[in-house]
Amino acid sequence: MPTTTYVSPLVSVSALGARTDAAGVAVTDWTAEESRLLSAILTKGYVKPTNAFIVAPQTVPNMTVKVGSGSAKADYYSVAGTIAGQGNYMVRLDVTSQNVTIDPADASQARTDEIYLVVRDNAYDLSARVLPQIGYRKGDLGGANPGPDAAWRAWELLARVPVPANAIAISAVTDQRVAAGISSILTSDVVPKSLLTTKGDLYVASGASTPARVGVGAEGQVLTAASADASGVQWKGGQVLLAQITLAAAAATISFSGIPQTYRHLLLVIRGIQNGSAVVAISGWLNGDTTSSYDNQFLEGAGTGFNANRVNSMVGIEMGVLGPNANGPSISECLIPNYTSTSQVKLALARCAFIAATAQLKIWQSAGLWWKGPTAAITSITLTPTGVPQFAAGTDVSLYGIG
Amino acid sequence: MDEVVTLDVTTGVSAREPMTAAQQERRQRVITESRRIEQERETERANREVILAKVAAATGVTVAALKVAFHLGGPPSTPQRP
Repeated sequence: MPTTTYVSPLVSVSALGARTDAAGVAVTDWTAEESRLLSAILTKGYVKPTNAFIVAPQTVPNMTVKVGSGSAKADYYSVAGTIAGQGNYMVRLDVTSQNVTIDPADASQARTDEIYLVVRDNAYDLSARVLPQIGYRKGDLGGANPGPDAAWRAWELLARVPVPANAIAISAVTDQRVAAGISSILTSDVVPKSLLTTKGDLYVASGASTPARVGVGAEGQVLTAASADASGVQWKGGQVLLAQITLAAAAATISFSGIPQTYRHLLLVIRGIQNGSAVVAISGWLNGDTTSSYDNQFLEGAGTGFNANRVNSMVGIEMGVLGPNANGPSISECLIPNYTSTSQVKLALARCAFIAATAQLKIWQSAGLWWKGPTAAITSITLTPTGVPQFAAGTDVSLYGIG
Repeated sequence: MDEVVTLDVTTGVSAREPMTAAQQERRQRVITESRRIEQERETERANREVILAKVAAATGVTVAALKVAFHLGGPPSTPQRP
């Protein structure tokens, strides 16, 4: 038959309508009303710190364990009553820790003892007192866990203490404490922070009063309404800067390789400067194909005049234009839709603003076709001026993935 | 010596290296092709000027006016900057 031993450290308790210390004397630095409010809100368990009322083995004195975090008046525990209307008791440990002596080990049989935090309240257990105590329950030899004393009406199991045969010290305990929580009647209207698991997560509603998590999308994607999606929204589309090259010195060609195949379209934006004086186009090779596999149709506007031409079987797509060095940078952009397709022809649409000479701002547009491209997704783009001049320092080329 | 700047979009590794002979040959093909096309355009422009001159002589309309009428590069319709 398990037995009970009480240990009475300097402990404070706030019962419903009462607040006393272990001697039954009122505690003056703890507001009972606030405590009662907390008792109604909290479920049983340690309130703070996380090691409040923790039970730890110790070798000195022999056969003892220590209860407490190590800081005086720091450990708070919510002890639940078991009788209807009894409510919870807030208990504070006023000493740094309290030793509990474990009964000597048996010579041949092991047992398991238990350490409880007990609130003895005469109104419910006829104990003729209102005070918290540490209850030590000695288990039967070779038997099951002793469990709480049948006379208790408010208790919390703090730890189980294995007592091996012939033990002369307690070397380990099993922590049985639980963390206090917020009562469910309050948490039912609260969205738990645990719903968010990853940086960038969003709270959304999958229905009325039904919170849900939406994980962050890929870099550059935008949040879009999506009625077919369970969450009603979806990260998609957007424009992502995949790579950027800014020349610190002149170069004859600029090349992007290893282009990811995870977007719908590609967009090149070129702030181009050349080191020559003649207007030249920027030719682009796709996947290193420098054979005569490209057709181009351009349209150039200058003042009231325009110029147009189509040239087939060229060695590259015209993706931009470079005005003379003296006139500053030219701006070009080239859209390559559906670049990952392995069944459709690859078309590019480019346009450019450049200054051909003083007060000669021009606009140039070009449609390009890579007619070897229907079976190949585009994985690399190489740019080169279609003349002797090179890309000059300061040239900046950005490659974007769209969608 | 001509140089090539490359950037692997997947790995982020960039490099600046001298052009290989094969790369030089490719670039030269682009340049040669561009020159050929430009020569063809220049020939077209010259032929156009001859035609415009003949039309002007026959009609009394100036070459500049004909260029404006046919969007062939006449003077701007707005004043130039000072």
